[in-house]
Amino acid sequence: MTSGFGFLGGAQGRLLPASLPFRFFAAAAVFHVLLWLVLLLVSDHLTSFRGGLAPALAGVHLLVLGVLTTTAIGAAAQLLPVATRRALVAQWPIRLVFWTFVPGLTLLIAGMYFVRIPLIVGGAAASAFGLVLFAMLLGDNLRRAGGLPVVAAYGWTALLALLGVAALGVALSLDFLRGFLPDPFAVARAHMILGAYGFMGMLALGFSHILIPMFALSSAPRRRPATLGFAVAAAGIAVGVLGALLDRPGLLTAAAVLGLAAAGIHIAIMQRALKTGMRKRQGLSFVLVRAAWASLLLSLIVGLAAVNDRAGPNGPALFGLILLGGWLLTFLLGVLQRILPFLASMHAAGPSSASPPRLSELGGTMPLKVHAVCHGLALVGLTSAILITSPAIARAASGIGLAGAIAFAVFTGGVLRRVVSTPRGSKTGTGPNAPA
Amino acid sequence: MSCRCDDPEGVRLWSDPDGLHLDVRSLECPEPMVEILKLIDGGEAGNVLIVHLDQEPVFLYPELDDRGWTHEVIAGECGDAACRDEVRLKLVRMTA
Repeated sequence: MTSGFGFLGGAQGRLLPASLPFRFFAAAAVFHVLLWLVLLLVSDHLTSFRGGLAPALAGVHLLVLGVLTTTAIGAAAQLLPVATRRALVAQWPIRLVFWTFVPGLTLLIAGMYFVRIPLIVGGAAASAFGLVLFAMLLGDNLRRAGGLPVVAAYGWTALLALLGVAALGVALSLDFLRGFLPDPFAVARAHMILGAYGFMGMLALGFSHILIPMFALSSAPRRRPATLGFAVAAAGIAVGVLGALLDRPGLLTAAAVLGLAAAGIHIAIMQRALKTGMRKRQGLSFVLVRAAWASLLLSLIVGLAAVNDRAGPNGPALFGLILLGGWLLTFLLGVLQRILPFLASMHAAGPSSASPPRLSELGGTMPLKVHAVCHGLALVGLTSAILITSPAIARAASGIGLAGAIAFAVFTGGVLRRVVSTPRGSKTGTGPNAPA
Repeated sequence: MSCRCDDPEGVRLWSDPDGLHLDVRSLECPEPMVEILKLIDGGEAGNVLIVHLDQEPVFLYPELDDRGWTHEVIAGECGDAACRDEVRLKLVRMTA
């Protein structure tokens, strides 16, 4: 047997240094705690929030940018090169993304919470720069990818949506300063649809075509239904953005119906992967993933009702909660609790350790159980609070959510400690599991 | 053993004196991992399995560890340009 130095080529280069993806995951865990803290602090105004410049807007952006987008960047930077078999063009751009995006969004969120326009404008510009840089990295990798046409299509759509959401976000922040947009609420609605269903949603649906079969140990989804699911989802987003910008309820209704069809196709594809996979028991993470899928459908039903004035006075708040908290946050946390130990296991392994840590040793299961229970209770509590306009219930639910976020941060911290405390080996010649 | 790199499509399985060989190059993610684990879980892999991949299967390692298999990156014997980016792993059942 010989050393692997000569023939591994770029294969190992696709696994980034642990510090790169994990800095995003660590930041997201902190933002997750801050999210529930802000919701607790603004709980009096949460149930009737309909958008606009208010401290509750900081909570929305902590969720979307702080938790969802930060995690998505870390995960995409690590997983996409492995899936496409194309290494990132260089590592420094992803570092630059972190050091522009994270401080930028911190400024943005502080500006929204304290209602300070200059902070909002500066933060929006810096975080938008980071997002555009990330979009360029993503685009470069997708451009060089040969296979995975459906995943690439989702990726390209997410990338376009990301550019759109960043542009609309900067425009909205400048509108706070100059007031030049004819209908800022219409732009804000388009910004939300593009961000939640377009960027984050398409990224989540696209990566699911790799991750869910990988977790279930099943074959990749069949190309035809996957392509159909993508086409319907992309059409729904395009119609939805147009409907929001033109303020046409008819178009928004059509978008919600298309979205329901796309979600139905996607869930059917994923259920098939789970049913045919070699691993039948998926554990706690898939309780969250299944709840997220149910929330995706529910978000579109509530959105449909809200567009047609049938969701009550707090319909927009309910729609936002189910879409952002129920679908995207729940899905991301379910997937993250599977990905983090996987990545940590790979990074923690090296010649200095006789055997790498097992997945079950990386991060305790108790914090995850506490988190799952708290997360579910918090979302149900917030839903109830919005339905009956009860700030007291919103406060209690946010407190429970905060406890859950702290539990998830303990889990993330445990995984990080294992990665940091174990020197990274060269991993050439012998694999991490091989006897020394 | 000769390297058969002229047929990169699909899965190929063959036996050589050094063990059972599985070629999963050009399969899309996560198919290589699934094909390898199918063989292992199905009991068809024996005690030594040589797998031919076109990238290091980083997500496979924790699964192998959970199943009691070690892995080792080995050199191919192919001078062909088509094999330049091949990653060849020797998987050994720990009890073997």
